[in-house]
Amino acid sequence: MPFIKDILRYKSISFVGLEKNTGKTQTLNYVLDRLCSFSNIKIGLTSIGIDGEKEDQVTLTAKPQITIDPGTLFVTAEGLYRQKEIVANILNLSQRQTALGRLVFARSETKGKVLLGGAGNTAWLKEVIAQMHSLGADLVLVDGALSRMSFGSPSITQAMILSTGAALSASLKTVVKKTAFVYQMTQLPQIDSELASKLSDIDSGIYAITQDEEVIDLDIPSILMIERYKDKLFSQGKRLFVSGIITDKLISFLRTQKDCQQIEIIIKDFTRVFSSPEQTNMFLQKGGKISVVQRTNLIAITVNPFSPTGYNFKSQELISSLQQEIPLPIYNIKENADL
Amino acid sequence: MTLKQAKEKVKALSFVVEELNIYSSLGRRILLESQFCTDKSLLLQRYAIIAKCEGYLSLGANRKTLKKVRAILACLHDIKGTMKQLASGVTLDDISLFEIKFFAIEASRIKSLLFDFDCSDLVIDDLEGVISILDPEGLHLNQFYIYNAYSKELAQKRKAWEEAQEDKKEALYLQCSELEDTIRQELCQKLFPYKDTLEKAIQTVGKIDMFFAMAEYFSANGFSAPEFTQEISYSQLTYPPLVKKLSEEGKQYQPIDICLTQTPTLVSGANMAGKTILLKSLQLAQLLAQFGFFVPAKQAQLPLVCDVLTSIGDRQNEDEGLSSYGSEILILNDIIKKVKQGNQYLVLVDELARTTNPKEGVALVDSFISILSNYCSFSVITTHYSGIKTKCYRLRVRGFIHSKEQKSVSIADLSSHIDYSLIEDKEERVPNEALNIAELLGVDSELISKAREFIK
Repeated sequence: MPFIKDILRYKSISFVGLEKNTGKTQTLNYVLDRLCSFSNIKIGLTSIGIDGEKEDQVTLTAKPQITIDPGTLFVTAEGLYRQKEIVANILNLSQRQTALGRLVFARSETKGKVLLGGAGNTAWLKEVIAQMHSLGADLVLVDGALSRMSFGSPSITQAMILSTGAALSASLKTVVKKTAFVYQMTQLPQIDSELASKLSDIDSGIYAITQDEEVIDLDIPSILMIERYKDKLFSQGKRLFVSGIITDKLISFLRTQKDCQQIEIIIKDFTRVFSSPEQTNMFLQKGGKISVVQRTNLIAITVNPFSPTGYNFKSQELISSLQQEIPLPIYNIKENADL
Repeated sequence: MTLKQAKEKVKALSFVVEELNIYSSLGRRILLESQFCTDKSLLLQRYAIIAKCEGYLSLGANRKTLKKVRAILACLHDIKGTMKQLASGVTLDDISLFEIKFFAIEASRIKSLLFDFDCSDLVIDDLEGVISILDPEGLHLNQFYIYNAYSKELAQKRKAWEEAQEDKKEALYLQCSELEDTIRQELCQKLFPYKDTLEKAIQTVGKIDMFFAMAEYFSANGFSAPEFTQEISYSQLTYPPLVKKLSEEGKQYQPIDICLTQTPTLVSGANMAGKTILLKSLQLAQLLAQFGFFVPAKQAQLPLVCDVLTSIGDRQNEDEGLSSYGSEILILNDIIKKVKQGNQYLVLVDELARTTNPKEGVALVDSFISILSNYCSFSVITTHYSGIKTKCYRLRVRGFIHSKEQKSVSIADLSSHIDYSLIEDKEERVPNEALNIAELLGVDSELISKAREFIK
């Protein structure tokens, strides 16, 4: 039973797909199915925004509903709750509305199928997860949004399972490169916990970190206007904390500085990397450093070698190409269904 | 006119509403649905409830109870929509039935927490009948679904569905759903007779939230229940938005005493001496009183009026292309029209006819006052014009406290040099302090000295 034991070490896990039809929902179903043998664990299940619809709205391919066991706590939007094929006990209702109505907190009384749709933003999702824990869930699984990595942030869930596959690109090389880059970013080094506690509540601005780990606001309103503040940027040293995102523009600006190898950028977590693999790697290869306040626990990667548009890869070839770059469990869930 | 509509027009009213700590959406709805009221007995009834809440909260133990009540209120949903469906005979779904059960259980908890609060208007009716319909297992839990306990047949069908092969499942699930629908219909039929009880309980819970929020705010901010008389009389009237702003700056607001009869009142005073705030305070207090609030004064007596008619600077017509004079005169026309119909209003006009030349301006003030004095409304008009001849009650803001040492002051601490109290004025002349104030503010000395020469 691949990676299930790893899952049990966490209280919350998000399922993120790099693209639609990379098998994210199948992965979730697979995990749920395997977890049911651990009857002492109470599972909670929710999703981000509208997901789990019967048909994929974009490509009109069939999407699996999510099958859950009795006693599973699930949270979904009112509109989707009514489409369930299960007997479920309603425990709570949110006051706030999603596009599909309020969120319904319910516990399944039988085995059956549900459609998931949840909180539409990260702050609300965090609240929902906390509420599910207080309603008794030991492990909360979040069916994350596609290609919206921000919901995989370690500030929301403790760990993540990533789905990738042919839907991402017709080129095997590109699939491997894009997936490997996400993996690489999840492996960025973490700063020490004392500094991390100073930085974790800062939500805007750019800061210098001195040798004594003092945090100094550089008073730069946005990295989008970085050229205008060149002189300020290094006025307090080369260790910088960027509370928002990092982009190609910032990375290429830093790379072209003469002491590039002394520069360290600290970001909140890997979801803040918006720079391209090429620019980021050039910066890193020149000796620049990127660290994170909070590291992500990427448990495993699942692959779907089939794309909805028709072409596909050989499963084994895809897995072994990925495996060369990524030292993590990598599975084709469909093939491993009997494991 | 509802409070919701009125607070859109009068910012200070909106300020007071937002200051209240309302915990539930239904409390807020009930508050905003409050009607501008001209019925003395209804208002007195509301004041009595607020006073009872104030009395209840004067005990520390009761404040702890209120905290618990508020924790429940914060989780309560406004189930107005669901109640509408129930009343119209629609079969409700599980989510709506859950809402009703949740409300009934939580409302009962509030009822038992407030068991020793002696206020008949805020007693929630017994909802055990509703709860028992939705709680066949008698667990009294905040949960709901179509329980197996409702029907043996359903329990058996569900079991069959769960155990069925994949190809038979769909048909069995449909059968279960049909049975569930029948049960939902029955539940709704049983709940239907309770619709008025529930509706009343929703209102009562909302009122509990609203009245305790009011009582708490009024005690903390020195509001008092007004008496209804045929005169306006305030002792230590304040203007809460400004009280708050000043206290944040570490300053104190100077309360005002004022008595008015149906004789039109003309208020004069230097610039920046608080004439506009006086009018706004009178407007706010009158509106608050008639929406069933206490008023921001130590003591208050006031008449009930049909409406408060104002011309205080916010002339929306200017956006429609009218000149400032054009829009002012249309507002005044509207006021005159209403007053002439004979109903009692409170009329508040800031710097009447200031937008035109002084000669005609004075004439307009005279004429406006003389018309108003023929009707039963209350009116306060501020002016900078000297030489108003018409008989009226004249008040003057005491104004600047002149001190020789003080050469120049900043706008920020100007208020500490002003005495905002009102004195009766027997003269027709208004104080000429515009140039003195300009000098105090450190305005260009040539501008001031030349102006003084022109006066001579």
